[in-house]
Amino acid sequence: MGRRAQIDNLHGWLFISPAIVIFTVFIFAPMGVAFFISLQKWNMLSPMRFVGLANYVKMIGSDHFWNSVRISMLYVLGTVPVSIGLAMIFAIMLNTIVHGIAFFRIMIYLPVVTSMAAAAIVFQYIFEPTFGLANYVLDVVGLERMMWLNDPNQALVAVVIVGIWKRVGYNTIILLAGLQSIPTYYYEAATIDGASRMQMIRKITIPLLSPVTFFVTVMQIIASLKVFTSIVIMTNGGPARGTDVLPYFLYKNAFEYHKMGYASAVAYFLFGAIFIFTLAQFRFGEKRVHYQ
Amino acid sequence: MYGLRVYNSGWIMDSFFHQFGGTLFNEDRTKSLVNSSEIKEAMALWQKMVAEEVAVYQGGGDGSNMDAAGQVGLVMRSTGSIQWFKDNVTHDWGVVPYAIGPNRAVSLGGGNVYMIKRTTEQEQLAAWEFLSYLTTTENQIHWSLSTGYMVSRQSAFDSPEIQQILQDDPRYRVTYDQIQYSFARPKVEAWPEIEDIIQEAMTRIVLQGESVDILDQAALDIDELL
Repeated sequence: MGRRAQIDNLHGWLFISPAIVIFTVFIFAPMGVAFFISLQKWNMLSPMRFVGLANYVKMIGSDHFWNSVRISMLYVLGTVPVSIGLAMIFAIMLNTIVHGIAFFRIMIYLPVVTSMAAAAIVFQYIFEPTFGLANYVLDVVGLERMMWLNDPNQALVAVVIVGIWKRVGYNTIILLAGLQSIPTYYYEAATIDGASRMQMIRKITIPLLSPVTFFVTVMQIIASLKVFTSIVIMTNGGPARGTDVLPYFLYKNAFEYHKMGYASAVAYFLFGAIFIFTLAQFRFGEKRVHYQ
Repeated sequence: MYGLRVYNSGWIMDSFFHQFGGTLFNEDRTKSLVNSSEIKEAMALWQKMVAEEVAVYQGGGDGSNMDAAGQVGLVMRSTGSIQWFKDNVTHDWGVVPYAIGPNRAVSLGGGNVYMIKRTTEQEQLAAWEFLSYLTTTENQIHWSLSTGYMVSRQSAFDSPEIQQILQDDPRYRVTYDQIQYSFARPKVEAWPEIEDIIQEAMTRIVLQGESVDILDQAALDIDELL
């Protein structure tokens, strides 16, 4: 390597070093430590005791763990299609309006930058069964009142609604950027050929938007698998474990039951699940994605 | 309007079970007795009351709102809520000893203060100083008057301030009157998790109408943790 190349190389390392340091200290090192802890029995007070894979074995055999896996899957199924579908509709609408786009963009993005903790407290009031806005709306449209956060099944619906509310703006903005990058001459050509508006959406917009849709879907699934703040504030995983998603389950085991080893094992399961999910999406999803 | 509001705080459940003659654990706390006939009977009564809408099953902030709005006739709450009631409830209200089941029993407890053994001497001295400060007669009086909690010192109880409030407002007196019926809370390491298991069972029984026999499974789950 010549001197010039060596200096270039050094510059390269220098430029990425802040990122490497931050990733190492806050991501890779804790990941390594977590794996180590997952092989121990440890309550943060008494000394650690090596137990091998016992925590993983216990996890696989635990009904409560599988309940959390199920709840997390339901949460993903509840949030992902709706928040992306809605975002698609909003993005196409925003893409067609000429005036006031900045205003609507801000309105739709506001929930993303709102503190989830603060919003969750407001949503608790909204879902309050007697005086809450949610039941008022149900009354107005003539539907039956719900118990919301006080019912094990309905509580999940409530937190799914909050999850959609929180994420739809992010998805919309990304999809909107994708829409705006589709060259207008495709539409012009289609118009000349006499295509209808629906045909253009189906044959031009959706295929050309697919890389962005794919990205948004991957991000949304990861975000849904990681949901925590709304759960800890609104339901504490209850009632009767009805909203006990995996991240909350592992938090509870770590910081309330003080089972750090077991919680670390659950964390590794969650990490593995997200990893495999994402890999699978790339493997099977990419075939349906059209790059220009 | 409901006659009674119940919820699944550990100490509420424990007091209730004791009133029916049930205890959560055997003597040496190696086995859960949560599926004993006494506790099943207690749970079944709660279930019946809620099913017939005599009682409402509602905890947390929503539950407190019901108290303040006068939607419940009776509620089991901490003596530490007395000041909250004075601040938030506009209708007339009183305090009576906790009595529902055949026996008189109430769990006595609250936030305990601990020092951790394995720390430096300096930290222990600091902790001791803080604990001493927390428990001075003066601070105990202030704390009790601001909440309704029981003072933890005889000297605070004997103080003119506390004696005065017991005279002026007999609602504070119940706390001390029921000490003779009190029992200590169980001390088991896995209590937070055990409490969750019992709470979950209570929600399923009382709110979802499941059979009290699900307590058999709860007992097995708890045994695993003991």
